[in-house]
Amino acid sequence: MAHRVIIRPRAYYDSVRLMRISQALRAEPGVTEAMAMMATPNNKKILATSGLLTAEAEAARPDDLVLALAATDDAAAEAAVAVAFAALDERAGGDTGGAPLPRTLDAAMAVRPDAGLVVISVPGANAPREARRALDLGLNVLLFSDNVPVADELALKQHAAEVGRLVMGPDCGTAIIGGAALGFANVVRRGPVGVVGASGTGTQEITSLLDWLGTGVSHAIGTGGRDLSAEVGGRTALAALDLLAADPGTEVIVLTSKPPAAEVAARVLEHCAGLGKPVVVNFVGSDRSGSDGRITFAPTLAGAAEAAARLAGGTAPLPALDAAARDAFLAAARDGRAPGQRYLRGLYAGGTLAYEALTLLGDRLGPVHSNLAKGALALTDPFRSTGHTVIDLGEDAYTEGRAHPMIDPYVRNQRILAEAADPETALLLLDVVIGYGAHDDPARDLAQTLAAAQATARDGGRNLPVIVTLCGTTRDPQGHAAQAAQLETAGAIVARSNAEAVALAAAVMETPAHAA
Amino acid sequence: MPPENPLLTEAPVVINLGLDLFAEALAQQSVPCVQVRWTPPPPTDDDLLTLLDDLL
Repeated sequence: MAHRVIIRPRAYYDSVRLMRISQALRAEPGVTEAMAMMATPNNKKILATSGLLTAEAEAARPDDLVLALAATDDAAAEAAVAVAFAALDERAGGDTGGAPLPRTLDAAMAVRPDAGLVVISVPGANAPREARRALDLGLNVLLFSDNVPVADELALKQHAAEVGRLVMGPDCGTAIIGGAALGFANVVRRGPVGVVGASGTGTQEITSLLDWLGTGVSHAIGTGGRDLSAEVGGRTALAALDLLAADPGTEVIVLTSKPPAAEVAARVLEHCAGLGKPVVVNFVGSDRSGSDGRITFAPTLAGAAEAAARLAGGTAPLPALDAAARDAFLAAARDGRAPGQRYLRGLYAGGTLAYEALTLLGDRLGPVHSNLAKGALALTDPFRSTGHTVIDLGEDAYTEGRAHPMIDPYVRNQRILAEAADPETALLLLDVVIGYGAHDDPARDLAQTLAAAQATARDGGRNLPVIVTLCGTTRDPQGHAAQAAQLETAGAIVARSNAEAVALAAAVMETPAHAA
Repeated sequence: MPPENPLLTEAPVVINLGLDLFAEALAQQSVPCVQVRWTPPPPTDDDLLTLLDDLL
């Protein structure tokens, strides 16, 4: 066995690029382990677990790159190092006509003085400074970075209002502006519905379903998850609603968010009522429904998409499972369930999808434990399920030092295998989110894990039904049909919306186990 | 009055500061994008940089 541990001092690479390089290196001949990562304390722990934390790596700083690999022999190790260096030195994307990439925002503006928008995904500690500079340069800001203090968020949004620009974020995962998919976003047809979303996968679900409904999206503006808190006061949401109200291509507006602070909800709803365009409001987890003529309340993400499509004149039904396939799945899940299999396990990559599942299932099944729940239903150990459990694997406990689970499925795959080995697990409820930014082929990866999970359950004398909600469109780079086919081949039933997946999961769990 | 925001009226031209992945996705969509080869400032310089921003 040959080991190589190489430090590149002061060499910054983003976590997604390093994850991809690590994955490519592991596929090289003779390589048994490979990691390219920044030398953060958390990543040093990962190196130590693999026996690759040398004294030099231990001494490295968080802004140093560590390349660590193990191979069957020296020749394989050297070949892999050469591949790693080539990948690290490869030019990043961008259009500068062959010139060196700019190193600052100001230099980038010199290359494209017509730029109107900046996407910022640098570490949270550095993000506010860059965002502030961007506003001063006249740019709108999509701030993908998280771990930005709320005081900085408020200051940025106040400054944005002064200069007539918008700060989407922090922690804004998605936007569609003028047809351009930014961050994690789906390829949706242009159309008359504008979306303001405080939640990333909530916006992806709504925009994707609007595509399936044949209606389409004018723009989708993200606000960041904290925008409708009492502290931030919905500043970006209110400004985004005004932009869509003034946009001639937008006829109907959808607003989606977790339930806001009460005073913010009142202010935002009052604002919606005065926009002069119909507004559909979905406060995820609230069961409010009905319409006062100006505002229509939708209790689910899918319901919001459908209501908006109707208001825009669309008549197509929401995509849904074939009734026969649904009934067959229910019957098989009922008949194949052992009496000890009592609990549902929902493992989500999408935070809003997880939250929606948690609230809808709570209404149907009683107590559901979660890392998103507060009080008695909060998980004491995020790595162990209790009773019915729904978890959001995008939360910090699972992502520290790793890319988001929509890109890096490793942590969820491990959890799926653990749930499969638990004799109390009756059903897996999962999401797959495709589109730009997401994993290249998430269904292939998940199908491999599900095969192993099914084998584990079978060895224990159990069946393990799996429901997957697949969020995305036919024109997404991964292809909705190709992803669905792989999941179905792996034995999963593929629901067409999260609300449908959750309803089916609840129906399975409400059906008594077959008397053994 | 703040200036009018052209976010929804102008064709998007994007600067990407951070994950290469997002610049690649924009390139696939033929959206003009400039990738910044960003590196973090030394942590101790942050206060100085904020001060410089205020001065400039």
